[in-house]
Amino acid sequence: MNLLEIKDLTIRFDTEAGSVHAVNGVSLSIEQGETLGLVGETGAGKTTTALGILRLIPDPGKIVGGSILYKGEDILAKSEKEVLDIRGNEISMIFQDPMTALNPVMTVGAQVLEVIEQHERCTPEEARRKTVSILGKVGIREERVDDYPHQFSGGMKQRVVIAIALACNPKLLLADEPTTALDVTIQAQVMHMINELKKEFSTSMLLITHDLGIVAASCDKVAIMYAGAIVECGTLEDIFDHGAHPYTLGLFGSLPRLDVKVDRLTPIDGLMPDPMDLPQGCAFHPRCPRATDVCRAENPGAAELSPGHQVRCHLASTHPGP
Amino acid sequence: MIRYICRRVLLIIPVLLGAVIIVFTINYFSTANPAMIKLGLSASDPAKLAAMEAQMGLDQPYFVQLGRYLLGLLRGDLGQSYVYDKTVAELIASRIPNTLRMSIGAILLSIIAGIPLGLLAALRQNTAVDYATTTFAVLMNAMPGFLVAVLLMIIFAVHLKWFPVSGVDSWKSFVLPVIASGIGPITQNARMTRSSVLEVIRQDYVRTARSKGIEENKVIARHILKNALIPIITLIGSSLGTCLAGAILVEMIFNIPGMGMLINSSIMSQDYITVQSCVLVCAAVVTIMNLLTDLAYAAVDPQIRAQYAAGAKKRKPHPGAAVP
Repeated sequence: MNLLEIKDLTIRFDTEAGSVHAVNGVSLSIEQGETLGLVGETGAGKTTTALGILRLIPDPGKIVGGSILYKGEDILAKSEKEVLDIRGNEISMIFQDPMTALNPVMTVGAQVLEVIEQHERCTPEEARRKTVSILGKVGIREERVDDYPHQFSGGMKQRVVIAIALACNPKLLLADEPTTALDVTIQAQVMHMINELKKEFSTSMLLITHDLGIVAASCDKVAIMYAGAIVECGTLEDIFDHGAHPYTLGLFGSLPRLDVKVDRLTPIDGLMPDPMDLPQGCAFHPRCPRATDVCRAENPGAAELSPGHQVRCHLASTHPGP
Repeated sequence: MIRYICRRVLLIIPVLLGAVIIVFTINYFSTANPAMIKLGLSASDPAKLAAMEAQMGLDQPYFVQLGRYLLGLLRGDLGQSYVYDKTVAELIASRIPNTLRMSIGAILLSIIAGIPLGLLAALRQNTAVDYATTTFAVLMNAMPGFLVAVLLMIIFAVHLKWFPVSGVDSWKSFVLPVIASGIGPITQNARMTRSSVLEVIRQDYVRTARSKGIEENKVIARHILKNALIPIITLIGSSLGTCLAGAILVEMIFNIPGMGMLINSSIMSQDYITVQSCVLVCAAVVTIMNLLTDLAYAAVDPQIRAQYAAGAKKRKPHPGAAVP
């Protein structure tokens, strides 16, 4: 059984200016111990999907359809109290920007302690010991436990954020671009640490990123997201070596290469469509170099190219891969 | 931290000295002759007047008079009233408890009523609760204090007879004056709390707190309120000054013998030495309140605490200014 199985998740923000279609029928699954990379441009709906799993969509956003099965039970059908027991305990999240993710008026120790006290039955002394131990695991020494976030650097703050997320040994970690706000040198350290801790606790992970390098280094499976939908998903090999969707190919095409000398990178022309006004048919067709009349008229369904490798493209199902 | 407090207490001295000199100088240049006021009708005799002027030291140069007044202050001598046969210190000592009771009551009321009201409006943003609170706040803030005082008196004292109309007989006498002087600070606190909470509620760390699975009331108390409190503290600190200024009107309307009444009657009877010392006492109270405000900041915000501990020289820029 999959640890997490999202089926047809649809999230909409109803504003005065119109409806923002942030997530449109996303389906994905994560097995025990597995890391799924969720890749896409800014605004593709990656973070909204992750927040949806925790039922933390900010107002005026609403989950309007689909189901999120965690250990076979639908999170969307649970009461608010049951969801509280899952958040931070079974499923926890690492946020993108460590500079703003910590409460400035609480010591880092108190912020870790809070989640332990919430979910674990233990004496204050035990909770404190656990706090010190988990902070030690992310490389924060005991004498810094009672310091405030402003006394830490960005990389150290992200370690605290990770400690908060891992404090109760969650089964599933939602890591939302955990290294985007960090220096490149720190990025490698933090990713290494997350992967080590993940192994130690045999945690599954949904890794949101737009860095294909990180995906290649840490993920078992990859899902490519565009305009609120998963356009292609499969194993690391499926996507990196046998990518079929024109958007996936475009993403790889826009990467600089070491083996070929290029003067200019080849970006994907155009911009992501406005989620308030998605184009008819395939959402990618205005930017797709190979778009046909079918693409303009009909939204493609998911087609399976090989077991586990799915793609939503009219062209890919008829002429797989170039 | 202790050093910071000591430094701040020492800094009160130049502030008060400045206030004394300004008030004294204004009085010095006023056209009224204190000797004449003191003598009353018998001031028409030039010999008596000259003798009184000499007795009061009014024939001395400006700096000598100022020096004498300052030396008196050091001994706790605020001077002798021109009108009453009492020292100014005695007059103030008999009046200030009423004013402080009223002002502190008003501030406490503004905290226990204003902050929850603003919090409620923020948590129920753009609902009927929010609109009702905002309308109430704007309406009450726009109404002059004396009008609120008179309306309260007409409704609750004259018609409903719940509280006495005037005077100070029991705690009941203070209810309406406290509400009247608190209504401004209540509405300001409510408005400030609302906007401050709305700003904090959108912060990433509130989302982090929610992602921990803690109950919403804990998120509000530990994460939202504590961070939203900083601008509110500033406002509460400054509302004491507002209350003291408003006390003149409120005390007159409710006939409460406090500092406001004393200042008013002293101005009317040209008892300038009393006015001068009352202003000085009010300045001292406000300065002390400012000190308490600064200490309250430190209690809430660890970054400010760190600044205080490090001293003014090593003041670090606010981390919000740094580009993440």
